[in-house]
Amino acid sequence: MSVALAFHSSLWAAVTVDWVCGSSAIKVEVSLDENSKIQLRPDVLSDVKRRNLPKAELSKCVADFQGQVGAKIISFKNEQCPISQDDFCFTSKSYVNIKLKEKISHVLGNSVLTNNIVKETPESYLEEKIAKKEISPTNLAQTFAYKGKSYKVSDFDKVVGENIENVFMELNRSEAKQYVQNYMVANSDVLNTSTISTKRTAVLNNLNQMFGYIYGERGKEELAKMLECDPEDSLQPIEAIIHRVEEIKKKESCEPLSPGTAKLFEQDYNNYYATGDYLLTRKPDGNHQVLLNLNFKKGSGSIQPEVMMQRTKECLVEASPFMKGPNGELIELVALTPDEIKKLPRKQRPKENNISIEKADFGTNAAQYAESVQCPTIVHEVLHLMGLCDEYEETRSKYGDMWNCRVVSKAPSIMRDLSVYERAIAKTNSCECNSNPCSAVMKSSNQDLIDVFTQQNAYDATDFRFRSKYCSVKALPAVSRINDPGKALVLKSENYKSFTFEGRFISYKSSAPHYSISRTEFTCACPEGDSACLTEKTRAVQNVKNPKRAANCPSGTKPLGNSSVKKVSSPSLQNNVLTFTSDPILPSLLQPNHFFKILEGTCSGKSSGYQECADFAYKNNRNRSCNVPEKCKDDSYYLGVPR
Amino acid sequence: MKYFWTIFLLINSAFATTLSQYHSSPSGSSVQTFDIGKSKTTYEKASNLFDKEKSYQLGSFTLPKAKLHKEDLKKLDGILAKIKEVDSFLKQKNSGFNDLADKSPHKSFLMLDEFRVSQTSDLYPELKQLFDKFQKQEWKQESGIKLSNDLKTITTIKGGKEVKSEKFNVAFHCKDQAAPTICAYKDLGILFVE
Repeated sequence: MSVALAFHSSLWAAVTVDWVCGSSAIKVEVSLDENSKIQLRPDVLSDVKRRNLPKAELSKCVADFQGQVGAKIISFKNEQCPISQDDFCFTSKSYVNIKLKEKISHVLGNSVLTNNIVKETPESYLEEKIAKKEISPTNLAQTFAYKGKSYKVSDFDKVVGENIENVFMELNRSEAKQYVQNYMVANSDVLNTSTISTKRTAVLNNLNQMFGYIYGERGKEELAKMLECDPEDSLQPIEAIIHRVEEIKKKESCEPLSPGTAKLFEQDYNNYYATGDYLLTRKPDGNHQVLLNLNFKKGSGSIQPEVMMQRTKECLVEASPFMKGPNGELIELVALTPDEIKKLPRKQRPKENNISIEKADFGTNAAQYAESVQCPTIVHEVLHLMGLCDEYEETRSKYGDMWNCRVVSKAPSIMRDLSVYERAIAKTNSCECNSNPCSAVMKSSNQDLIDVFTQQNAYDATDFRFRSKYCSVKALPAVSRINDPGKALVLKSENYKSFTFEGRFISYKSSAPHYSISRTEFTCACPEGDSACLTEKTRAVQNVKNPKRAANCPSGTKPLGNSSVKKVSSPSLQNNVLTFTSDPILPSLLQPNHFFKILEGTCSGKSSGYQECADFAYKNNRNRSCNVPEKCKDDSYYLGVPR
Repeated sequence: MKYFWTIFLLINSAFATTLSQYHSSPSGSSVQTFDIGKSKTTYEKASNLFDKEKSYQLGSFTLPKAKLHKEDLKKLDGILAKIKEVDSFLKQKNSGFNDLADKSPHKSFLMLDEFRVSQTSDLYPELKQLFDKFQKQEWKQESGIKLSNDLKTITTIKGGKEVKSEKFNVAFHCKDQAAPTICAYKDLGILFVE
């Protein structure tokens, strides 16, 4: 909807007006295009037109709207336009008396003014239902009954066309693309025909507009590729204006934060994976804090949203001390509920991330958590909300080659391998130790025995898929004396593709001393050229060579309550509770460029290598080759791993 | 000519169509595939993630008696035909059906032949219904493994017969030493055990 205005402005970004007309209130986004034409989202004037209001009430509504816009402009100018930024600001003060240049009758049509009753059709019925918000134009598959017949929203191309702008305001880029696919599927019968028809023209015109919104600045070029026909309605997207404002803002906002300042990151709808919605604050001590707005909702799972929120908060508290940059600087992760967020100043409120809680066997993703989800997965998913991408392999053809352009990292990264979580954090475990073998071992005063009992065992040191696929296991006979008695893991042999190690386990024995040490030999061999296996083999050998304190309570004991981040120097037993702190094997939960990416968002800076390479994470080579730069295969370029 | 290709594609798709459900996360990738041929239909399970009823089986299954319902296959062909119309339109413009599919990380989706049908696709509900319906058939396991519900015994199946039963080493094959956990068995896939 465009209406000419009798005033001029140099530049104006969108403002929101709360408009009450008749009994309903609506939020209207008002912006100006390059020709100083006012643009309203949603198209409220058409909405008013459909309501057939009496003339007097209609005039009142329009006058009210003009007044609201005037007030908003003044407030916008005062808020956004300090004297030093004149180019953002209005040079004329005549904006206060905004008048619609055209007569109301031109805008709303004579039928409104003469109270002529428009003949109802399924189309006008649908328009009314959409105006009343009883049908969402976003759901193309939604059906409605009209005079005994069933119709689908997607059957009405004119209505779809009229609502594109409103619909696309609600969707991010990925959702918008899916919407276009749905529209094309609904109209698949006219896409490939060479017969010119009104229906086909309407569909192509709608697609023109949809692709224009999706591709933004590149819209025209993309449209030329997508469609043969010229768009019927050259709706000028307001992006040119907004883009200029954003470019200027971006220059300012890419400066590193000084202590005590904050920056609000917003997901870029033109690049879904570019960044997320969060508030980054530089604390007075120089470290950073990331604040996320998480809105947990009930799904198929039985856990209450408050419980999942609490679990997530605890996981982030556990992970935060290990979210380190290359020089030891920290990012503290904090999750707040939407209600908690409301207590922050308006300009410091990150947008909500909705997350539903699903059944235990559900495959967790950033927007849906299985109720059984644990900290490693929660932290992985939360990092997606800050713009980090997956780094695990997705090339198997039987899985559809969906993301075979993805750069697969090799360095330890929680975005590829969840076990990195336990290897990067130090967690103090409290374990119930009132029965044997735990009690006997801890009371034995035999430090070697205590070390074997509380160290990572053979199963902690190797991934279960790797073991099952490439390793075999055999029990070793009991001996009176073992070498390296204080080690739970001993490497026996290794060559470039295989290795053998001994794992020691402490198990219960009914007779004194109420424990026994059993030994098991693991032999793992990688097939020639299996690089994934060889990478895992290298990791496992490192673990075996340096057995660390375990991340969790030993077998035969029960974890007591929540883990703590308070460190203890060595395993101890008090009141039948075994306490020990796991050894982090990795210096941080983040690789350097993960850290910089969270601080920089879409700004180019230290994370530019990451941004370049992560861009391939959700691409495939179906229609064009991946062209992944060779340098992306080097983790020092991609993740900033020290050489 | 256009109709020739449409008919050709429909006939061709009736001979061999695959419908898979797929989910991927750093914990492991899950996939179940129905390979629907004219004379034989197979069901490949590399995970039990999508099972409606508890089942600890991985491997290859066939339908010895009943066949998939003709009406369902017709629906499947109808969906595929629509997708191919969209895909061929987009192909002329250097794009494709999959380019417009929602690719949110870790969300499960369906694959009909090589086309990705995401949960937000309007085709998803009907396709998922077909997937669930196919899953409910009485499948006979031809090869793979079957883990007992108490996680104590693993049985190997070859040529439709149980050829070996042995003690299942939970600690060796699984992520955690007690259920609920995820277990792997050689390269057959992953089992979510409760």
